[in-house]
Amino acid sequence: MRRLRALWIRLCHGLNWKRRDEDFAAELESHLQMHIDDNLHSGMSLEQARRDALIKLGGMEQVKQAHRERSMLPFWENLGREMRLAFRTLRKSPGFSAAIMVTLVLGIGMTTAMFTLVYSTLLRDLPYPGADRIVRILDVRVSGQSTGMLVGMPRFFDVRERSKSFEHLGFFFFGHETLNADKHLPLVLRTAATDADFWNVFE
Amino acid sequence: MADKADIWLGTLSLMILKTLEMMGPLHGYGIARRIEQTSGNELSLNYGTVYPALLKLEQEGAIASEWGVSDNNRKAKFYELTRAGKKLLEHETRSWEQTTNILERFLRPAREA
Repeated sequence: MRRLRALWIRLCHGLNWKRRDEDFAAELESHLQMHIDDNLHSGMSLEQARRDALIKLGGMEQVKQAHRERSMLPFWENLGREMRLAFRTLRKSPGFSAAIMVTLVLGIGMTTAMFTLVYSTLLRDLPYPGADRIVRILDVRVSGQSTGMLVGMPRFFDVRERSKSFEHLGFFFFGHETLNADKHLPLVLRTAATDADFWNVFE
Repeated sequence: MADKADIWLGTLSLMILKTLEMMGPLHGYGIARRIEQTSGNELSLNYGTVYPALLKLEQEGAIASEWGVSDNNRKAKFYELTRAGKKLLEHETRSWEQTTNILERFLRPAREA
C-alpha cells in the first residue's frame, strides 16, 4: 500500500515537475544558508563557509538530479525526452519519415485487409445455428469426364435416398431468367432454385 | 551495487524517522546534522543524500512537510512524522533488530556453544 501510494505520487509528479523543482531548489538554498550560518559561527570566513557547505552537501546538481529521479519515475521523464528527440529527427529528414510512414500505413492496412478476408471466409462460422455441421457436397471425379464439381440431379436423389449421416439434404443451383412484366422492358434476373428441405439445413 | 545503495537508503530512512521522532519537526539540514552527530561522526554523510530519502518517505506518507522558519530566522522546509510514519518506525525498528540479532548469531557462533 505504501509502495503503491508512492508510485501514484511519482506518476502524478511527472505533470507539475517544474513547480516541484523550484520548490526543491528553494529548500536546498535554505539548507546551504543554514549550513553557512553555522560555519560562520564556528569561525570560518564567508568563502570557506560556503565551500564547506557545498562540499558537505555533495554537489548541488547531483543532489537535484537524485531528487528529481525520486520525485517522478525516471521512465516518465525519459519518455518525454525520447519523444521530443524522435519528433525532431523525423522533422529533420521528411523524405525518410514519409517513406517509413507510407510503409507502416500500407503494412498495417494490408494486414488488416488480409485478416478481414481470411476471417470472414475461413475462420468465422456461418451465421446459422450448428454452422460447424453445415457442409457443401461437390462431385469430384477421379476418372472420366469432369462435371465441374456439380452434382447431377439423379445423383442427388440417390444420395438423399441412401444417406444416414445428414439430418437434411437440399440442393440449389443458379440460373438466369428473363422477367417480362407487361409494358416494362425485360429484366435479367439472377435466380437460385432449391427444394423445400434446403431451408431446414439452416435452422 | 544497486543492492548496497538500497540497503543504505533503507537504513538512512530508519535514521531519519528516529531522528524526527526524537527531535520533533525538523528541516533537512537539521536532520543530516543530527544523524552525523548521533553516529559519533563515524558516518561520513553527504547531506544531500537525505533529500531523496525524505522525498521517498513523504511519498509513502510516513512524513509530511511544511515551510516554516528556523531557529535563526531562515525560511526552511520542516518535516514531521505522521501517524503512519510512527507505525512504520516501530515496524522498521523491530525488523532491524531482528536482522542484527540473526547476523550477530552468525558472526559469533562461538558464544552460543
